[in-house]
Parts: sequence; C-alpha cells; structure tokens
Amino acid sequence: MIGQSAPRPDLAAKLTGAAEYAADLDVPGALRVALVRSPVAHARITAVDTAAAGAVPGVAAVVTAADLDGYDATWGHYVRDRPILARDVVRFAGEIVAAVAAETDAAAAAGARAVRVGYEPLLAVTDVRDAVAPGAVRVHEGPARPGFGCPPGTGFDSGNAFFHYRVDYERVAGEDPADAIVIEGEYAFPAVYQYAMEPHVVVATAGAGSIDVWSSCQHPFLVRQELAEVFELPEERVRIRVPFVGGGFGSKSYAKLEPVAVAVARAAGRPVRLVNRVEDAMLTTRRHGMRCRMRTVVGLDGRMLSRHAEIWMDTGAYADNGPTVTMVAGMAATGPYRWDRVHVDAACVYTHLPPAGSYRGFGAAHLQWVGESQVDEAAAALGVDRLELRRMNLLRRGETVIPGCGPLDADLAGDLDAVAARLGWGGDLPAWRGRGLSAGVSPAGVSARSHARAELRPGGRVAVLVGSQEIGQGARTVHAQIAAEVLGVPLDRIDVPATDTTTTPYDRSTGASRSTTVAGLAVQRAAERLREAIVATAARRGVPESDLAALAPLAGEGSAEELGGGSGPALFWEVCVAGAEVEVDSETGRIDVREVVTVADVGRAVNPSLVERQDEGCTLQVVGNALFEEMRFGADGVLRNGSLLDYRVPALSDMPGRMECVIVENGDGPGPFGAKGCGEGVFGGLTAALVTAVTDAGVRVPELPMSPDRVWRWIHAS
Amino acid sequence: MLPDFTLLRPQTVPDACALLAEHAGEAAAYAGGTELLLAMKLGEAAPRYLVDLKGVRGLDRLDVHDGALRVGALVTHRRLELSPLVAGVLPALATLERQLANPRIRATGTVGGNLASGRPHSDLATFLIAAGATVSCVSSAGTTRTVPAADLTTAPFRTVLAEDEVIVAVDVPVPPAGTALAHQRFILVERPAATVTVRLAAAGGVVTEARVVAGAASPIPRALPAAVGALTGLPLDAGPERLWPAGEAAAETMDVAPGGDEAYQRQLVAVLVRRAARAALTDLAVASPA
Repeated sequence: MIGQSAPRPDLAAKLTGAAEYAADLDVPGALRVALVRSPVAHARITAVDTAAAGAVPGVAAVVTAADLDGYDATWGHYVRDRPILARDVVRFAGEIVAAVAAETDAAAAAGARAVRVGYEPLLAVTDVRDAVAPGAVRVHEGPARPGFGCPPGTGFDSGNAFFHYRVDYERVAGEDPADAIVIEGEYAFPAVYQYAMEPHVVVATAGAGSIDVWSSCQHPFLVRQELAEVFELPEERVRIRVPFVGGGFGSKSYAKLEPVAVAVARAAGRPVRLVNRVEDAMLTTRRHGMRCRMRTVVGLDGRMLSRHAEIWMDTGAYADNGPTVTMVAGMAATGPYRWDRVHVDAACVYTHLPPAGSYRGFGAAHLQWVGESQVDEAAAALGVDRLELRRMNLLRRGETVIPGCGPLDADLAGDLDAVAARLGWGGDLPAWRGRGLSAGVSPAGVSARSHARAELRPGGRVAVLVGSQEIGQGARTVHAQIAAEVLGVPLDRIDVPATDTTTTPYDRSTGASRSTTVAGLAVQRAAERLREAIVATAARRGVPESDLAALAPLAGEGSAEELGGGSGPALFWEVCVAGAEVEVDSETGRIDVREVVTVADVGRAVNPSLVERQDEGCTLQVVGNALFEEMRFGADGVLRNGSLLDYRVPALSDMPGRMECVIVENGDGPGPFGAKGCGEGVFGGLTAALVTAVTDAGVRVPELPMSPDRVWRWIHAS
Repeated sequence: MLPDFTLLRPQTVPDACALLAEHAGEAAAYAGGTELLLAMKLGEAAPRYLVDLKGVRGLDRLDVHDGALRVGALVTHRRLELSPLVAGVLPALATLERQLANPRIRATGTVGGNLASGRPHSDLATFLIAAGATVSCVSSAGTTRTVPAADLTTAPFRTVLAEDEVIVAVDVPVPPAGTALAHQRFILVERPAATVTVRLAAAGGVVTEARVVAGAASPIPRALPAAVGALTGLPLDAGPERLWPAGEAAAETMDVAPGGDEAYQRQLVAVLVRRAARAALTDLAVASPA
C-alpha cells in the first residue's frame, strides 16, 4: 500500500455533494447568529443600545460583553489577550462588539442592524513602522498574559513589539573583511487572506456543565482546551466534533469563532449556528504582513560570511499564533547556509488591524525570498553562477540549521540540482525572460503529541481513530494506507472516521505538515499493536489470522511520542526548494509563469499522487501571494478590498504553463516508513524562485506582490 | 445576505414595463442577476420588487436580420460564446465572450442585463460601441426606441433607460468584408482594469476607417476619436512603431476613472490600443493577402 496512489475513499462523497460539512448539519432548534462588528479601527465604546435589536421579531438574544458574566471572557492560546466580545474598547475595524441570535438568518441580520453602538475614535496604528516608533499608541495596555499554549519561560515585552525571536550565533568569531560584498535592503510582504472555500462554521450547545460543539476546525483538541480554559470546565466536559472541512491552510487552526459561538449559546440558552461569509472570514484571520531590513555579506572567495535581519511581523490587534509565525520567520531569515555569523531579530507587533495567524508555509513564505534575492545579488556582484554560489555554502546533512534545533536531515544540494536540471539551468533566454531557484528549510512537526487507536470491529472491518483532520489534503487516505500496509488488509476494509474528541485519541493539531509524519507514526504503531493482538489471538484460539471477523473485537493503541522533544519545534525540517521560469511583459508589468519545478523531499511518498496534488495546490497559492493577492487597508485601518470582487484569489487560468513536482525519496524522515511531511515547503521555495526569476528577467523586487502595476513602476523607475 | 424582495414574473414585455411603472423607484428589472444580486448582497441596492424577465417571451432571439446580428436581451454570454452563427459573423465577439468572468457567470449573465447595469467595466459595452451597435428599448407606453450603444451609458451604473423601460434587443452590424474588430482586456482583480476595442476598415492595403473605444480605466466606455487619425492611412503591414502614436493619443485623451493609478491606467490603454490595432491589422492582412 505504501507508495501507491490509492484513490481517496472520500472522493465519491465529495464529487456527488453527499459529504457533510458543518453548515450542512441540521441541528433542531439552533438559533442563527449575526455579528455586529466595529466599523472603526480603534475607539472607546461609549454606549451599546440593544433595545431595538431585542424587539425585532424572531430575535431570541442580543449578547454584548456585559452579558458574559461568571467567567473571564478573554481567550487566546499564546497570549490571552482577546475579549470574546469587545469590552470598552475596539482594536480593529471588524472586531465583534455584539452578537444577535434569532430564529432565522433574516431576523438575526435585522437584529444586528438594529444594535446601536457609540464610538469615540482613538488614534490607530496600522503599520508596523508606526507601531514600533517611540511614543506610539499602545494597542494593549499592560503586560501580555500567557495563554494555555504559551511555551513555558516565554518572555513578553511591554510595547507593541511584545514578542521577539532572536537567532544570534558565531561559528567563526571576528568581523567581515572590508572588501567583502555587502547586499542590503528593505523589503515588505503584504497581509493576505487564506481563502478556504468553506468559511468558518460553528454549531454550539452550552449546557450547565458541558459544551458540545461542531466546528470546521483544524485543531479540535486545542479548541477543546481553549473552551475548557475560558468556560472553566474540565476538558472531558467539552466535546468537539469535526465533519469534513472545506480547506484550512491555517485559517482554521486554533480557536476562531468557537468562543463567541459558545458564549452566545450560553447566554441564549439554546444551540446556535454561526456561519461566516467570505467577508467575515477575511476579518477573522489573515496572513501577517511583514517588513524587514536584511544584510548579507559574502567574501570575495564566495564564502557566505554573515547575515543580519530585523523583522517586524504585523500580527494585528490580537496575538493569535503571531509569536510562532514570528519565530519561524526568524528561522527562515537565516537561510540554509554555513554563515560565520548570524544576527536575526524578529518582532511580533500589535497593530490596529484584524488579527493575523497561521497560513500555509508561514515564515518561509515571508522571508525566504528576501534572503534568496540577496544571495542572487551577491552572485551577480561576484560574477559567479547563482546555483554554484549556493552549492558552495549550503548546509549538509547533519549540520546545525538553528542552534538548539535538530540538525539538517535532508540533501539540499541534491534537491537544488534536481530543479536546475529540469529548468535547463545555464541556457540562454530571450529578453524579459528569467529563471530562478531557491533553497530553504522550515521547522515542521511541532509536537510529538499524536495518538491513535486501531480497532478490529465485529464484522471484520478496521477503524483507525486518529485526530488529524481531513481538510482536503487526504489525511484519511494516507492513514488508511499506513494501517492497511501494517495489517495486510485491503484499503476498502479500513475506515477512518471523523474526529469526536470524546472517542478519538488526542492529537495536537493538523498543521506544520505533521499529519503523515507524526499522526501517521501513531497510526503505524497502533496498527502494529493491533497486528500483534491479531497474531496472538489467532494462535491462542486456533483461528486463521485472515479470519478477522472471527477475531474481532481487538484493538491496538499507538503514539508518536518516540519522536520526543528537545529539538525545538522541528521534529524534522521541511524542505523548501523550487525553481521557476518567468516572462515579464515590460509594457503592462504582467508576469507569466512559464514553468515551475517543485521538490517534494518527503523521505518516502506514502501516496505519490497526493504529494503531487499538495505541491500543485500550494503552487497556485504561491502564484496568488507572489503575483497579485494583498489585503489593502486604508490609513484608517479599514479593509478596502474585503470581497472576492476586489480581492482576487488565483483561478485555474493562473496556473503556470508547466508544473513539475519532483518527489525525492531518501527514506530520511522520522515518520512511518521513512516519510516526512510536505505541502508547505513550496510556499517558501517557490515564492523565492519567482522573485529571483523576475530579478533575473531584469526587474529588482523589493516587495510583494509583484502585481503588474508595481512591476511596471519598478521597470519605469529604473 | 440578500435583503427581502418580492419577485414578479411577467410573461410579456408590456406586462414587464407595466410592473416597472407601477413600482417605479422600488423595482429593478432582473434576468441573470450576476450584477444586480451581487449589488444587493453588498448592500448597494435594495429594490423591493424584482421584475423577472426570464419568463418574458421573445427576448432570446439570436439571428442575422437586415445585415445585423440581432441579440435578444435574454441571450446569455455563454450562448454568444458557443454560437456557430456568432463565430461566423462576429468572431471577435465570440473571442471576447470566452474571456469573461467564468463559465458559471457566463451561463447566467445576459446581454441585456450587462448593458442595462451601466457597469463601467463591461467588455461588451466597449465592444458594441466600436461595432456601431444599437440597443432597442421598450417602455410602458408601448413605444420602442433605438439608442446607439455609445449613448446608452451616461455615467458609472447610470443609463438613459427610463424606470419603466427595458432593453429588448441589441443589433450589431455584421462587419462587411475588409473590416476587422479586435478586443483586448487586462485584469488586475476580478473586473477588468482596462478594455479596448479597435475596429478598422481597409481598402487597397491601407486603413481607411478606424474606431477606438476604451472602457474600465475610464468612468464609462467611450470612443477615443483622437486615436483614429493615427490609425487611418496605415498600411496593413505597419510595424510596431507606427502603432505607437495611436496608443499615445488614446492614453492622452481618455478620461481616467478616479481612485486608481492614473499613469498606469493610461499606460494600459495605450498598450491595449496598440495590441488591438495589431490584431485587427493582422486579421485584415490575412483576409486580403497582398
């Protein structure tokens, strides 16, 4: 089964529309919820009048911060900084001030329109440069309060730049020589929107001593922990169920709308159903905007000497997963090279913009292109080939990437060569065409906390209970294949049911490319225990091992804890290597992506077709992020392009002319059968390859996206 | 979410006009809804009555009549895109339709709705002005008037249509031999940033007549007569440098839609004029080899 492109068991259900998503659930008696959002970025709330809203026919409850009594209605896994409903002050345009629960969507919407809120506007900081300036308005007074997911020992600063991640080391002591090549610049990456096709959906019931939630979420066990913390219940009294999820990309990681849905259900005393629209989803979470200054110093002999970077990540009004994103961005800024000296300071900065969180490939997407474009500039200054300069300086397997983290566990030079060969590296190109390639690594896996249970059930079918969410990536297919391989039973005898936290073993999260590697290892171990039980029981009872129905019920438990901790957040390094060829239309500034080569350095491909689809999907998202997507906020902090009419997401017509995914199987992953994760590395690798390809075509790139209007201006400014 | 409304379903044009007259100020004519329903969802329009034209008889013609392609108001973009008739008499229109939005929108959106919306970024409006099309409109008085496509839209999302008046058909003159139309569009987001149609007529190997129309980058689609002189008299094999003046004249004389990057909008129009002119010249050269 391993290495076979087995068809997805959920294919028919998804193609026919039979697959149930959270918004399809029919929950008898559930009220519809409409949210009242702040129109201004920063203001004191002077009055909230809900009388007219309460009088709208069909409205069952109008809930404001004043109604959330008996508990501390503030949440946040890393920093507990976010009121469920705004109290006294709003910190971004779009912040939830009140919620209206009603019998119908129309009544809820009418109720929401009838809520009157008074705002006394305050000065807003909407750019990280202003937010970190001396004397800037503080987004939050007082010190940051650690959330339940904050790593022990984390220190927070008091200003808007409340969290710093630093990399500071010297392999070789000393100074850069005076004749070295110095490349310096300032760069920016815009806020972008994850655009999962299914927006966030939560159906919640809050009883006296229990909470029951259906949610389209990626991390049900962390959502459970968040709700247990906030509503002061044992985790066992909080139940999270997750049906099929229509895409995540990080937008459904950690808690998002679950706290407000539960608070409203509790206040209304009825189940509630909260369904985001795209316009709401854009205000719920987004990718961090980034600004940075970077300096790369390379000796005349081509040896990379030092790298300095100062990075400001715009996390918006609430931390969400900002500190983690900032940490990974800081790591990506170093690049996978053997520097003498590295100094990186990455700051997570509060602003009065909607909160930013996780999005596929975070950190690497933000910073790899910056470092890699400086490597290209250094190569040009030295007059050496860009691939050659990289090969001279790339880290080798076993070398330290970031002090304190595990060593490099991949062959980056081999990956880069695979790209170069397919791009026809070194061959001549006509004017306005360019090639680029890029190398990087990003910490993946996060945590070994994944458990699984394999059950041989009466009738002889096998159920694999595992808490990785099927968010379209094919997690259930891969887990079924792993169990089938271990047990020697056909794939169609294996079921991987949806998560229910009351019965599914604990799994930390669906992200950081951990479903195959970490959760998959737990599945492998559980299947091995079940296999042992089958063999032992068959021998004891004199039944053939193949007669599963006669042997049932049996079960095996497994976990990935053998992967341990102690190596920082990187259980393995996800490889971010890719290449591209582009053509720039010098008259309009439009970039045509002619060819893309991505490397899926996955150790072992459990399902090669799914690996390729991961790289292809990520490629299209990179095309959007690199070439045209951006959330445009006014100076007042209000989103100007908050609908899909004005915010363009990539369509099939934006596909590169040619896409090739090179699957590299060196068997060097810590997961089952030598596998390691994939699906996010393309965001770092290809973004950088597109930037360096455009630079090779003759246009230097200081900021993303490389939208046609910007590219045209860059051409005409030079 | 859509605001509440009452759907009215007339079966004849007079009934439709009568309903629009009866609910004047509170009603909107509705067919594909690709523009109207979006505006309603975004809170930009809230008509209490939608007069649904989809059941009105006689508005879905697509045939050639008196030297013109007659397109009923209910004909969808998709139908124009796939029609062998259109491909034969106005291939540039079929090509244009293939590029619009996406198949779902094209299968729903109608020609009449597109024009009646007065949307400044309508590819179709730009094209029809260049093609010399006319728009037939009927009011509750029962009278039919014919409005040149160039006069239909007066300001962004505003047309000359009276409240009780609906578009029933568009007549697009079939280009005679020695004539070519070419359309170019450029998108940054969902809607085009610039649209340009160039119509050229040639005789004896040189351009004798030209029309240049630009939209999207300007408040409404509009002819740019200043570019005409630069194209008239060009040989069919004119090199790229000879198309430059037409682009520059168009860019310099166009009205620029506010709120954008003006220099870039002018640049796009200049480029699209050159490219459309190049495509039209190529078509003419292929049709009449020297």
